[in-house]
Formats: sequence, C-alpha cells, structure tokens
Amino acid sequence: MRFATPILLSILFISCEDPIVVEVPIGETKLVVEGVITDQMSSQQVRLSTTDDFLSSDPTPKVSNATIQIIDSNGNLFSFSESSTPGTYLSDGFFQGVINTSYKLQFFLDSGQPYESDFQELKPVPQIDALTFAESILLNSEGFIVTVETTDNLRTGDFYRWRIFKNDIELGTLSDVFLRSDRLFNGNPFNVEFDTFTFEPGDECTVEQLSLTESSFDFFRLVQIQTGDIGESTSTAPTEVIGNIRNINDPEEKVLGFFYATSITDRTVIIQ
Amino acid sequence: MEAGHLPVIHVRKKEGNDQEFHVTGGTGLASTRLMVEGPLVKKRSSFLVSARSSFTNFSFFNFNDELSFRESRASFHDANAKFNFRINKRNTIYFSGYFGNDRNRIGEDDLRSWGNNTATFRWTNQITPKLFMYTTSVFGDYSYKTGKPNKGIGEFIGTASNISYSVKSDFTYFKSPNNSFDFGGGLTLHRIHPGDREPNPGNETFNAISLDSEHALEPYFYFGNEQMISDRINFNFGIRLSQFLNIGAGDVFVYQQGELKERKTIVDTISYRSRDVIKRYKGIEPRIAINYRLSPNSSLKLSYDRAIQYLHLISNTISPSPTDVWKLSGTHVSPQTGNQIALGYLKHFKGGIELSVEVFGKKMQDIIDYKDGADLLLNKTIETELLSGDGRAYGMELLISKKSNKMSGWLAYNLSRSERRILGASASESINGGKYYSNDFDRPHDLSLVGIFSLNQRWGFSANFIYRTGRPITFPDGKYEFENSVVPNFAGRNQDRISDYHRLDLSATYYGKSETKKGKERKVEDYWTFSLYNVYSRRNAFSYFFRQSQGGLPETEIVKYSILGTIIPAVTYNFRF
Repeated sequence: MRFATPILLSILFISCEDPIVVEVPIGETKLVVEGVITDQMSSQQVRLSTTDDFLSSDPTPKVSNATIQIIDSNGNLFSFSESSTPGTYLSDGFFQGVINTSYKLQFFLDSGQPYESDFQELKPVPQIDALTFAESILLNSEGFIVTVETTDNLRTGDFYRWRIFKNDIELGTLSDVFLRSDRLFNGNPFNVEFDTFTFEPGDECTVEQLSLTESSFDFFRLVQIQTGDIGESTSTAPTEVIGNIRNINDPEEKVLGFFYATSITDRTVIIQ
Repeated sequence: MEAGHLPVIHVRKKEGNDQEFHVTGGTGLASTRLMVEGPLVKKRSSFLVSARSSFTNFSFFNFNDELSFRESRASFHDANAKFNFRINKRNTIYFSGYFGNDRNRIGEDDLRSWGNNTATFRWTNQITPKLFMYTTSVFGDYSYKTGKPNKGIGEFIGTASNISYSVKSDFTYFKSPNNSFDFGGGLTLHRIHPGDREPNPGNETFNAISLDSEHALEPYFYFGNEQMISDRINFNFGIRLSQFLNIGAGDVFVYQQGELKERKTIVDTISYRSRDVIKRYKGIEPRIAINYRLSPNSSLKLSYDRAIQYLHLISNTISPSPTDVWKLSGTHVSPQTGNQIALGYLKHFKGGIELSVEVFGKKMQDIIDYKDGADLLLNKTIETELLSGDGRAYGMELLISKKSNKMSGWLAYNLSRSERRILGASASESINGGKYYSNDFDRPHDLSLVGIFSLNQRWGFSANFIYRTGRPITFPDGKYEFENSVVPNFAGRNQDRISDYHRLDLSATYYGKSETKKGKERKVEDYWTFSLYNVYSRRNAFSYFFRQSQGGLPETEIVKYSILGTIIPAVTYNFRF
C-alpha cells in the first residue's frame, strides 16, 4: 500500500425519531395484579386488570367481582371489597402494615380460579435526613432540582424506591422510577438527586422514601427496562416481567404485576 | 458506526521500508495521521513509527438540541512502533509495540476510556533450508476505566482489564514443494481483572468493591500437513491439542444441587490457594480441507473444522461496548465449541472475473446467554445471571468479482441463518420456551455491491451499495397498566425484525500531479478524497421504541430511531514524501 488509508472518523451522531406504523402481534390476554400494603393507616388497595392490544387507545380492561383477602405472617386476615371504580378493591376499613411482618395476597376470580402471591416482608425504611434543592446546572433545564439525603442501615440487602410529588401530583412514570440497592454503599450516608424533574420557586415538593424487598426491587427494575427506550445500543433485551402471583390450579399461567409491602417515610420542602 | 460507539481501531500490519525514508500522512474532518518509515542499517534493519489522533475533544455534530449530545465528546490516539533487524542470512529479530487509547464522554460527566497495548517480539530462524522456526512472545493488555470525574464527592472510578502473556514456537518444514508440515506449541497465561471500583476521595457513600482476579494457563500443541496428493487433489489436515487450567487463588461458590443458581441457593464456598487448579478442560480441535481441481480454471473445496473458545465476552447489551466484561472458562462456565463444515466452488473466467460459492453449516455448544434483566456490573456471582445453550448457523456465500485497470468491482451476497436455543431445567432458565430463535446478528439477506472506476491518471471514482435484512428485535404482544404507567409486554424474544437496511456511498479521489511544471518528478505524492455517505439520506432504522405517548395513559406509540439518517459529505487529504 503506497499511501496511508484515509481515515474519516464518523463521529457524526445525527439521530432522529420518526413515528411509524408497524403491525404488532396480539398475544393472549393475561391477568395483571397491582397490590400494595403500606405502613400508613389508610384504605389499602388492590387492582385487577388484564393486558390489551399494544396499540389500543382505550384503558385496559378491568377485572370485577373478585373475592380478595390479605393474610399476614401472624395469622391476621384482612378482607377487601370492590369500590365504585371497577377493578379497584379497598380494604374493609383502614389498617396499617406492621414492620418486619410479611403479607400475602389471596383471591378468587369470578370464574372461580384461585390465585395467591408469595409472602412479602414489610421492611423498615430509614428516615430522610434532609431534602435539599439547588438550581439545575444542566444546560438544557431551568429551575431547581431536589436531592434527598439519607443513611443506609448496617444490615445488607436493603432496597429503596422514591416517589416525587410536585404540588401533590406525582411526577414521571415507571420508566423513570428511582431505585437503589445498598449493594454498593451498605451502611453509609448517601444522597439521590432527582435530576429528571425541575421545580419553580413556590412549588411544594414531597419525596416519599419506600422500602422494598429484593424481589419487588427486581420487579420495578425490570419494569423500568421495559418502559424505557428499549433498543438503544446500551440497553438489555426486553422481556416479559412475571411477578409473584400464581394461579394455584394452573402454575403455568403467566400472571403479570406484583404484590408488595412497603414502609414509607416522606419529607416536604417549598422551593424558594 | 451504526452501533453508536467508537470502534477500536484496526491496526494495519506493515513492516518498515529498509531501502529509503518515507513520510506518509492524511488529514480529514475528524482525525489526522502520520507515519515515518525508513532504514536504520540499509537493507538490514528498518523501523516504522506511526501515530494517529482525532482532533482534541472534537465535539459530536449536533442536530438534536439535547444537552447530552452537545456535551458529548470522543477522542482517540494511537501509536505504533516497529523495528526489525536481520542478524544474518538465517536469523531475523522483530519487535513491535502498539499503544492505543480511546475515550468518550457522554453527557456532562460520564467518562469512559479504554486502552489497548501490545508488545511483540519475534525471532525467525532458518534452521535448515527446509526448516524454519518462528519464536514469538506477545504481551497484550486491554483495560478500561469508567467514572464521573466531574462530580467529585459521591462518585467513583471503575477499572477492569484483560491481560495475556504468551510464548510460542512455530515450525514449518518444507519436505518438498508439494508437501509441507507445520507444528509447534505454546503457552498462554490469561489474567482477567473483572473490575473494581474506588470511590473518589471524600466519597463516603460508596464502598470500594474489588472482584477477584481470574487466572488461567493454556498450553497447546499442534501439527498439520499440507500436500498435493495428485495434480488435482490438495490435502490439508491438522490437529490442535490444548488444555485450559483455571487456577487460583479464587473463591468458587457451590450452589444447591438441582436448584436455580441464585445468591440464596449458595450452600458453600470453596477457597482455592494461589496456583491450585480450580478447573481443567481439555480440547481437541481437528481440521481437514480437501481441494479438488475440476479444470485449470475451477476447483471444489470441502472442509471441516472445530474451534474451542475458552474466553467469553459477557455482555447483554445489543451492541458490543468497550466496558463489556471478559470471563474465563471455569467451574460454572464451560468452554464454547463450534463445529463447521463447508463446501465451496471457485471458477476463474476470462477478463479477470472470478466466481466463488460456498455453502456452510455450523453447530455451537455451550454458548452463553443471560437471564432476563441480568445485572452484570461488578457482580461477584455472575454465574447466577448466565444461561447456556447451543447454536446453529447455515447458509450460502456468493462472491463475483472483476478486476481490471479501468474498472473493478464485486458483488457479495450472503444468504444465511444464525439461531440459538436456550433450554434450561426450568422455564426461567429457558428463552422462548427452549425453541430455536434468531441471534441478534441474524440477517438472512446481506448484499454489497462495489464499483471502482478510474477515469484517468488524476481522477478515480467509487460507489458502494449495501442491503441487508433488518435485525431481529422483540415487539410487544400487548400492554398493561401498573401504577398509572403503561408497560409493554414483550412475550417472546427476537420474534420480529426492524425494517431492512440499505445505503449508497460515493467517493471521488483526485491525485496530485506527479511532475512539477518544469517536468521534474515531484517529491510529494498526494491525493484528496471527497466522499458522500448515505447519498439518498435514508433513515435506516437502528431500533424501534415502544412506549407510552407523551399525552399519558393509555395512549402508546411506536417510534423508529435512526442514526446517521442523512447524507454526510467528507474530505480527506493524504500525502507521502
């Protein structure tokens, strides 16, 4: 070769997004369970629905007339009744979950099929040490971002989730859910910056800090992967997220969603 | 560049010119290169030194007004030095060194850099006029660093590396012009440092994490013979015998028998001391090829070979990333084996036209796959995230080429399938119910068409067209709602495809005059290259996104994501004196 090979390093990252129409497969309809027990004295809630065609613009179908109860590891039983919103079941009266107690969801559908979850422990969550705000340093965003400061306990295997509210309205979807495991910082003080959301002076910001179990943490992490922009070069292969609910008569049935227990602590700050 | 990251630059093999000095270089929009070569002792010893660099912190072009792109930068540098010395008629020594460093920065504070260093020493000895020996010693080091240097407190620096040292002796014995033997052996030491993470000073949040290094020794011998059995039949066979010894020190977890490998099913830990053999594998790799000449212009070739791979690249992202983890075969990860058989036909026609057709079939055992949502970062129990299975590939490769002074070109067409099957003991250890499905890189049709035309001494033109089937991806088969978000449900992996990829590139080369105005020969030879990438600005899909619409529940949308979806002109200047 007489000459150097000409080198053109094509670092021209010109990317674009175009809405398209493609035919998507229509899979079998699956049951979806959304249930949570918190340590807040409230009307605890379980919702049942099903999957729908991906491109349907209607709300997904709700599942009514189920018989639902929750039992705890001490043998207590809590019954639920369907509310005026179809598919939404509320506990009969207020109650609160107890730390270090495990809970299990059991229900029958109208068809008579029996389902249950595994036992989910309600793990303690540390207090929020501070909730601070600062002007965003990112060039493309104006306003303030908030940071939560907390201290992990010495035990390993703690899992966290945060929910952020602006003037009592929750921000974001599960694609930007904030999750942490203490695997990399067990026992240390740490902070989490919610840099995807900005606030204006006068906004009221509330951050809820929730405890998760390893399995509920994995569930939210997998759901986050599915709801993000799957297919970017750094993303992992998408997958069907099978939760912790099973049909007792038919263990092969794939049930989506999750039932979990959580302890919640919160903090509010006015941005100024 | 469709993968969306910088390639690790390929190094051209070229030995120095032992007759005269030359300087060669080139410069384009993004990078520049320079090479100097020449004799140290004329006709006896030569050197070659070259270096390349992208322009410092050349910003990514930005047509998308997002900070993450505006603040992104990439750079690479590499340097290469070669030296060879002919001691006498029978002995030559050769030394080469390569140093490369690439880095990119994504958004404000995500920095990644990776380096590739190799040093090679080779001694060529002609023992007898018919027996040659090449003794080579190679050191190779690949490492990467990742971190968020700007953030200071609260952040960390992560590192990992893959180092190998090897010594080998290769012999070639020419028994007769029609019969030659090659044999030899070597020893390679592999050392993989899968990763550690050091918090920045003052960072009280992160604990330092360091994964144990992995070590292995790979001794091997091989023997091969190539001979013309008759004037029509050429016979070539060989065998390679190897062992792979995964050695301590290291801890190996023992999992509950018959249970899924999970952190909670660990029942014991075996600690191996330094130099203890943790796991031993043996490998036999035969190969055979028979070439049968049908006529003076055509031949048939039948071949079989087996290849064993002891090192595994652990990556569950769609395209390879410089931060992917390497893993040695050991207690929980078996070597990967591939067996391939191929039949080919080659024919030369008049006018420099050549036709080749090959059909092949391949089977692979112990290929690695990943559990759903596997977490591979700094994971001490990485085997709990892995699945294993087998693969198969088959197809046909067609190549028609024409070479002449005025006009050259080729058409290459591959028709193939590449599939895998992950069938484990339980549903969660299987993918797609244990049925065969397309590999990420399965592209049944792959066509490229290249034409090169030289108009005169000064101008040359070329055109390049590519067409290939879109890669397999997973479409959702439904959606559901959970906590006021829409979740697409991806039921079966790689059952669908993105749209097909095609693109045309054109280029023109303008050569500088070879003589000055006075008719003397110019000392400098130079040329310009003008090129157009993606001439008809096709927005080839890189991926599809299936997501909740901006409007919120319950609307969804499908979006095609493309990179380099427009025509890109470029100019390069090259010289040599």
